[in-house]
Amino acid sequence: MMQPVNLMVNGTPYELLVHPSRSLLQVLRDDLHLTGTKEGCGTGYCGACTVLVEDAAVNACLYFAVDADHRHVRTIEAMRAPDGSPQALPAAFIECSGLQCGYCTPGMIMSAAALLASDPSPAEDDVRSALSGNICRCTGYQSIVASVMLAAARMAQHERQTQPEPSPRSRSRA
Amino acid sequence: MLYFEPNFVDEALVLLDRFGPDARVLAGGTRLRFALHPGDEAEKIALVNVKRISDMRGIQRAGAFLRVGALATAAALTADEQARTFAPLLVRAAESLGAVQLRNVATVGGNICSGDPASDLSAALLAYDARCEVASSQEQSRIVAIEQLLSKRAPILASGELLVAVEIPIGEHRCAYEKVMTRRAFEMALVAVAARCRLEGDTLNDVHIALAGAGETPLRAAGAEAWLRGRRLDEATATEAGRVAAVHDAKPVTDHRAGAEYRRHLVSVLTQRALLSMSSSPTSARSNL
Repeated sequence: MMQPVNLMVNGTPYELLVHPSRSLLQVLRDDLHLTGTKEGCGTGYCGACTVLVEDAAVNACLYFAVDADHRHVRTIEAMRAPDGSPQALPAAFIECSGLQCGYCTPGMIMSAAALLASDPSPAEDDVRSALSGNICRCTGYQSIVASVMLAAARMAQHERQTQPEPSPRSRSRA
Repeated sequence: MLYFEPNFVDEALVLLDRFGPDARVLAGGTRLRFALHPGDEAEKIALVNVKRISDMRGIQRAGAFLRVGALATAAALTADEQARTFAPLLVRAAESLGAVQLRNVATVGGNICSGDPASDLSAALLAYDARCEVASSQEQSRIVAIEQLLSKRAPILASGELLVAVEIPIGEHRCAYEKVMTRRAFEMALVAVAARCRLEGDTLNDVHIALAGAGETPLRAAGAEAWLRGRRLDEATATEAGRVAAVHDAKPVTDHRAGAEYRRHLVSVLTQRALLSMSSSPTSARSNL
């Protein structure tokens, strides 16, 4: 029996009828045509299908779509700036060649996004740990870790630049 | 396939009764997706999503116990101050479970009910002698020792039963969690050893050792525990206890991930390591906190 599901995906609300056996991955790709999220193993081992549900990284292949009812989902399609250019994370992956075939990249970027949201300046070990559920069969991971570190540095720099300068008074107090 | 989101335990029990063996309880869902058989019998299956049931959520102190709702995820355990204080062994096991994508959804209840012999959380709960609150429409709710629940292979619960929470006795103890995997992260344990004890001077008391991946179910190393009682904790003791656990307690099987003899060897080494690390680990979970 089809089940009504309200999904908020990348800020857009969707009202869907979903069979309870379907995964979030199937609904994202087949119903919403958000094909940036990839199916790798389909068993929760490779992390290619990683998306954020309420800001937590999950394997979309293991997640029941009905369980995402009234939850916020973020996918790789959200990782671009308003003008369509890539945000800091995908931009850093391009700059550092953090990909070869690219199949694992959306999952890598979403796992990295979850990490940077909770820890804006991670150590390299934290990055490796946060990405341990994402398997890449091309790169050997070095350039992927470098990409995340570069993105973190860029985002921190951006944060500093966009923060208002402290007023002379508060500076002297500090 | 039918789908339900009951709000209360009683509501869920009515559904479990009505659909009997065709009911599937959905918590984290990581195992359930593969237990479903689309096509042949999926139409009569009733998926019972228990996420709305507040009795099954939360981690809080209840008298002499830390009550952990069956829906508590591994990630919630690692972030919870009370769990870190009163059940540090469970937190360590939770930290070692899978990768972040699994920790964010995998639940305590799902770990127990899937009956996985290599479950990190089950091993830690065994070492704690945790009690499980099991509800069914026949009786209001019964308290079952985790060891009894885990003494058989899945299905752990009878048709119509629901695991609501686990209760961990609070007390001063040292603990250790040792695990070997085929890579450094995000793997099932080939073997894991969860241990806790009290040390009076060098003397071991209240020793609990649980083994994951060392049999067809998670196991208590009762032989090693009995042998250790009242002994001085030193290298020779730890080595002999590891041997006893490997020879008398472990019932390892060979599968695609490791052979039985290698697993037996790991039980010996990891038991020894766990015991020795407890001689230097800080005492935690003071009951007078």
